[in-house]
Formats: sequence, C-alpha cells, structure tokens
Amino acid sequence: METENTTRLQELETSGFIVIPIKGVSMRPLLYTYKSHVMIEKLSGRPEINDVVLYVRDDGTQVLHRIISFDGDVALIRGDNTYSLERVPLEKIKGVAKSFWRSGKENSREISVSDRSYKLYVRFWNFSYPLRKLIFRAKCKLRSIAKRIIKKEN
Amino acid sequence: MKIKDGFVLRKVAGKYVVVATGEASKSFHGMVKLNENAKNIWTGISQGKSVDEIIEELVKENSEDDRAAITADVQSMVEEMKTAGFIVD
Repeated sequence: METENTTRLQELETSGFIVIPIKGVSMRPLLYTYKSHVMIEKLSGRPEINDVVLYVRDDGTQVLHRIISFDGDVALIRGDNTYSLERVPLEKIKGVAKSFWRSGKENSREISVSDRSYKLYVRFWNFSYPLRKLIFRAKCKLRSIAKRIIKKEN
Repeated sequence: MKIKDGFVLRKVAGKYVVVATGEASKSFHGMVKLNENAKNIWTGISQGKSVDEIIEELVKENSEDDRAAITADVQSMVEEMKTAGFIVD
C-alpha cells in the first residue's frame, strides 16, 4: 500500500496527471467504489472552494474529498457522503480532480469539472447539506434506539 | 485472445491510459499509459482481432517498409500485456 501510494504520487509528479479508481463510499453519489475513475492533475497554485482534491493524511492514506472552505492555509474538507469537516494543511494537497467517469464501462461519459451539469450538482449538494445532515442524524438516532430495543428484548 | 474483464481504455488530456474497474480495480490501482500504436494494438485486441490482423492494419496505416518493426512491436506488446495479466486466451 505504501509503495503503491508513493508510486501514484510519483506518477502525478512526473506526468502531471493520474487516473485513479475510486475505493470507498465517501464521495457518493458522485463517485462509486470500484466503478468510478478520476483524473487528477498535479496541484499548481492554491486550490479553490468546491475543488475535489487528493491529499495525504499523516498516516500516508490518500484521500479524495471536496474543499468546503479555508481557514488561512488550512483547507476544510469533506466527502460528499460524509458529515464532518477535516482540517487539511494546504501542503498536504497534491492534486485536483479535473474530470470523472462515474461508471466503469468503456463508454462511460467523461464529466469535466467545467461541465454545467457538474456545477449544478455541486451547488445542489452544498445547498442540501443541512437537510441531509439532519436526515443522517435522525437515521443514526433511530438506529441506536432500535439497537437498544433489540438488546432489551434479548 | 481478449482483454481481461475489468480493464478500460480512457482518453485523458489527449493521451491514452488503461485503468482497472470493478473486481480488477481491487488488485490493480494504477494506470498504464499507451502511445498511439499501443492504443491501436489495445483497441484491436479488444475488438477481437488476431495479432496478424492488427499487424496488417498498422502496416496499411504506416508503410510496408515498416512491417518488420511493426511486427516486432505488436508481438512484444502482446507478450508484455500477457505477462501483466491484461490479456487472456
């Protein structure tokens, strides 16, 4: 894993871009695990709000999430399917997503970050965040109540 | 001979790359960059063409004088793809 991650960053450094498959659910509904691919360009300059960026955590894990805002030289980042912000120093950000292929099919359409449909998705997804968070919390609460009831019955 | 399930060709910034999808992406996380000839060979194989048919097409596109070099390139790439596990018989 370590070697593979290093190789990926080296490729980004030398080629200026990489195409990587997605693993995980934190960027749903935009990206699907083991199906979607993302083209990432090497970061040049400061990233912008709403950019989906590739960054490296202290443990070496590479993560692809969206910048929500900045606090000085720290980006506040969140996955499209997550509900907490992560503080990421700008020097940890290595690349910016420029296009996506949502399905793993050969004829999957390339969605550029400059596409109107993508921009609309980003606006809608950010706008609906408070409501989605409320629903998420309600689901968590219901799940914990259900667990307690099942425990009592056992 | 065919391309193993789970590998797709993508055109990125004017360049061709092969990436894994589905089950294949669990074990292959990288990308393979292809030049124009390599892309033609990959496409030929994915269309079910034989090595000889791919060579004939490339010779037609280039020149009869290049036949020996093209044959060597195609055979070498097919062997590399087999070794890397991209092609199954």
